Amino acid sequence: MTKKSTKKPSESSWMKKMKESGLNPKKEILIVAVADVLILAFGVYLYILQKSIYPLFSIFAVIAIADYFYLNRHSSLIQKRKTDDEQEFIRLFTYFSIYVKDGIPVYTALELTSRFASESMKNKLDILLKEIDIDKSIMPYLNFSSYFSSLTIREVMVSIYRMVEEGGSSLYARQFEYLFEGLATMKRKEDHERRIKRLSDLTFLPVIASGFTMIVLSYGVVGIIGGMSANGI
Amino acid sequence: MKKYKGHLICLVVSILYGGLAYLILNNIIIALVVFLSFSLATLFLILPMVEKKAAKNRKREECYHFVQTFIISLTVNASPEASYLSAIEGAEGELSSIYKSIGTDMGVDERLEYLSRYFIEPYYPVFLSIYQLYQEQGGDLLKLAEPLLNEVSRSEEDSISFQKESKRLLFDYLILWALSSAVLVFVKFGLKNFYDKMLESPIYVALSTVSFFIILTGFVVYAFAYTGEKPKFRRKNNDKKVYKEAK
Repeated sequence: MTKKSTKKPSESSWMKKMKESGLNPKKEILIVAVADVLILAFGVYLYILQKSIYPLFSIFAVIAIADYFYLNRHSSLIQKRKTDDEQEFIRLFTYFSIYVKDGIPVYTALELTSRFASESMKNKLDILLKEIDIDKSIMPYLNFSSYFSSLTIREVMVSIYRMVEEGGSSLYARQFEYLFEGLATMKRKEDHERRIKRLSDLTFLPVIASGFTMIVLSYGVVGIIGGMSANGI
Repeated sequence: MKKYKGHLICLVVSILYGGLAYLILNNIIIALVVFLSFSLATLFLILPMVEKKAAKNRKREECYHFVQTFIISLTVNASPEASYLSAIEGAEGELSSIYKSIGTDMGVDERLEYLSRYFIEPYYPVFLSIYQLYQEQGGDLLKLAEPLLNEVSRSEEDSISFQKESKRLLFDYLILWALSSAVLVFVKFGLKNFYDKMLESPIYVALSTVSFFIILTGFVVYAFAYTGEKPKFRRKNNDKKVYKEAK
């Protein structure tokens, strides 16, 4: 008697990345399939009208390119999530620094700050606070900074730990302020530039539209010239 | 009239593109389809997003004015009631109605708490907690609120700077679309002798129609990026809810 394998087939890296980016792979495949069928139906209609294989080839090429980009957008989504997390860190720790400047102890300032956090960031801050309760070393701060890829965030968290260690010493408070201000200014500038770039990048759309009009025009003119030559005019 | 300015602009744009479709393709059905598509997309997709963004900008400015005036007045006269009255002075439109409906029966703390439903700026809850801290501990309010005021001013400056730049980009974008649309008209008049023959080809007509939908897609995509909003087909008016609850 052969023993049935109960081991689940391992997920492909594509599936893992899709899930990591918050997308449902099955749903995405279904969307692509439905869109492809509709576009192909249009291609077949053109083929019947034109009796030419070229429009169908063009549609195949468009579908292949569009599918590739649509199904591989998980990397940009993961990157976006990381950027959003860093932006939220900047927003929350701006409030944290306001509380610290007002003389509120670090732990209380962290508690107050976590009230304004999104659900996922609130969970991370809650874990940080719980870890601080049981571990007075630098580890909880380093664990929290490991959620972010920026090394400066790690430095900021280390400076917060130093502040706690030195009982809110003004030297360490200044060190935190200096590090955090530098990071915040850089991230805000990056965010501003990214938002502006996103808008200016869209100017390619009118250019594409003009290009498309030129293609349509060429098709119309070439069709007429072709008709004239066929008729010997 | 001002209320319907956005609707009027949407209709004018839809008529322009519907008319352009008729001029280019000589086909009333395609022109109507283009007009209807532009009307539906601009009125029910783009306009709500633009209005929502405008409301957010208005609230941001109102919140900035309220927080700054309240803190500075409280530093000067030390009376929360007088500072509140000073902060709400000169309010217009929806905010004025909300202030009126809140009235002065509630305590200042409750009124400030209530306004957190209207002011959606992320720093407003921080302002509330600092005000609470001031009430509990006392001390120099201006010193206590200085980091917050700096943050509020910085946030406002960033928003104004982004708005200015995005308006300039919007202008560039609209000019490019106008030129791109003009190409369609030049084709019609530039190729006068050929044009009627070209219109006999159903593929040419279909592809020309597609170009109108590319233009429409360009408008919708830009509206998403410009406003940063997501379309909501069932409009939820939070301001009206706040106003009703306060009543």
